[in-house]
Amino acid sequence: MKVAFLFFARSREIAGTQSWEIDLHDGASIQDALQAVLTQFPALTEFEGRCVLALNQEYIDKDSKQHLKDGDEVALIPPISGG
Amino acid sequence: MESEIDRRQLILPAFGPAAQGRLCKAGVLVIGAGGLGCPAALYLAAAGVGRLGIVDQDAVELSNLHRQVAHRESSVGMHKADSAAQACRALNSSIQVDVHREGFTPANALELASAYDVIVDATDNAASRYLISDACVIARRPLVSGAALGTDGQLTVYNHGPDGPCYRCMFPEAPRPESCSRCSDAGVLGVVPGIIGTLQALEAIKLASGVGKPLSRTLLLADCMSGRFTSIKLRAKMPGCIACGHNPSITAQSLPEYDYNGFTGAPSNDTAPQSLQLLPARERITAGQLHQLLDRGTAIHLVDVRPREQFEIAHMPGSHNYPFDESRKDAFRQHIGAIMQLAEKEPGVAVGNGNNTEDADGDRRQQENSSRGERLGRPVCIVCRRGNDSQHVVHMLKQNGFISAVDLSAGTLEKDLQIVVLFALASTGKRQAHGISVKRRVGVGLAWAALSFPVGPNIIDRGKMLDIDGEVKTLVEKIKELGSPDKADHGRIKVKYGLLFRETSDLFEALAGTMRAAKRKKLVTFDGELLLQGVHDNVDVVLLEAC
Repeated sequence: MKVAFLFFARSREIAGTQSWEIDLHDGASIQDALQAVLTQFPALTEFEGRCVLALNQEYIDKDSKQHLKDGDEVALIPPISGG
Repeated sequence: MESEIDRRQLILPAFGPAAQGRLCKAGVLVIGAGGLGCPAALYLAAAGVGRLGIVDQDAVELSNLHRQVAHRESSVGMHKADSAAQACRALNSSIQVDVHREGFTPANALELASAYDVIVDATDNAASRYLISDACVIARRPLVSGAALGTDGQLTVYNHGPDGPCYRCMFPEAPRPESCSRCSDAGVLGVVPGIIGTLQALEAIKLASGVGKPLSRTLLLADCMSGRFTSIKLRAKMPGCIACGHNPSITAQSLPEYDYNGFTGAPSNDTAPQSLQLLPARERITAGQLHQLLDRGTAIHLVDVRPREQFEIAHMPGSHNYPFDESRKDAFRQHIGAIMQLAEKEPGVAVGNGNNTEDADGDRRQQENSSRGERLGRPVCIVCRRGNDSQHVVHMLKQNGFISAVDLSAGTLEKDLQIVVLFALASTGKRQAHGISVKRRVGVGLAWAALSFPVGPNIIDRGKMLDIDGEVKTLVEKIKELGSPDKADHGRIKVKYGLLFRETSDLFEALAGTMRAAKRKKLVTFDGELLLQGVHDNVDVVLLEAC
């Protein structure tokens, strides 16, 4: 199944792209998806536990074990503090 | 206090006299009179909020004006809180505007938050964001939180309704300091905080007047470059939250003592990050030493590791650009080889503080070092903006066995060189001072000045800037030659020669005397149409900025 990651603010700069699609095995969890994205973009570890994660535009806990389904979108939203 | 000003708001079906009446009785506190706070405060004033508090401890700077739209060129140096309050009063004299120049601190946070009905967080740093959120939880005030950086914006309302989360529920752990780019480093497209600040005013008006559905438990993300606005449904309060949870450890008693700077690892203002001390002093040089080396004709490669955008604004002639981002060190490794290849094209001298050997010594050192497996080539000086990234790069080069690298200790923010060069030019007019031709001196001086001047893309033509040519007389004479600038075109003036600098005060001091002696008031710049940017007590000064 395909799951898309959406990157916002600094995570987009670090990943160098707005979105990234991964192929995961059926039944993969949000944790599997996070592991895959960190493997692809190791510098994103700076946001581990320090950003909002959203699954299909709804907040999801960083420790969630929720299973994903084909077409799901996971957003990585680091806080920005400028103004 | 309904007035003619508010009439079209009054007749709006979704708003009406009752809502306007509540708004006129409400107090809104805007914390930060910067890119977010300026539009927020202006719209709140225009909407007729009864009492508007404006908090800021900083003074207006020229570099603020592209986004902090309540301030004027003429308010440079003034307290931002005063300047913004002045603009709000000028817009709507029927409202009360309170000015808080002392900033929002753990000591005054609860008192300030309690004195208003709605709080608007328009600050620019993580420490203030946690402090404001905690204070709003304790004072039971809704918090309109906005942020903008680069071309991104974020907006939500915290601590509202029975289950609305606070900032700590969303971000229990502070971002790492390196994650917190600042507008002063990373830049910001002025209209982005304008959009978010305006939306903050909207949310504050909705909360204060009791209309509409506030953006509680919803995070609005604005990716302005791609025109993408996304709403994320947020979590409810976190039961274990240390601020708003069942058993909070942050209380009215503990808050004033809480170490917000320690928690976020960053000071609560948008100032320069602390200086890194990665390299020993002997592996670093100052702009003055670099100047001397160039002056002596030393063959040295300049490697500029600032982002491409900054490099394109201005750079030292002949320098190479290999952008470095601390969070993407791995990506930089590909450049390490390129820099080493660059350096190995020619044998060079070793440079460093107090270690400026002649070529013969350099050759000997190279032989000695080669026997230890270390590689010495034509020396490389790494230049960044502040002198921090450059240390990382030198360190990486040394780890790869390349030892003829130094960094420029204060980066391009080194003021000495500009001032030394420009002042020498003003006072002596010598063409061969320190053995560098005037053309080159001027080039170096102006290039350095330009390097530290973060302006937009319509950059001064470096060709012209460097080409003040061999006819340089004293600056005074230059100034005497200047005709009366034609200011007919709304502050744009046509001028001939000039100076480019960012940190104004030192240079003003240095030049003001010269200017007075010359009985001239206009000090302006080179060929081209420039924007009138600032006025000093003694001297009218034109700062170059993107026109």
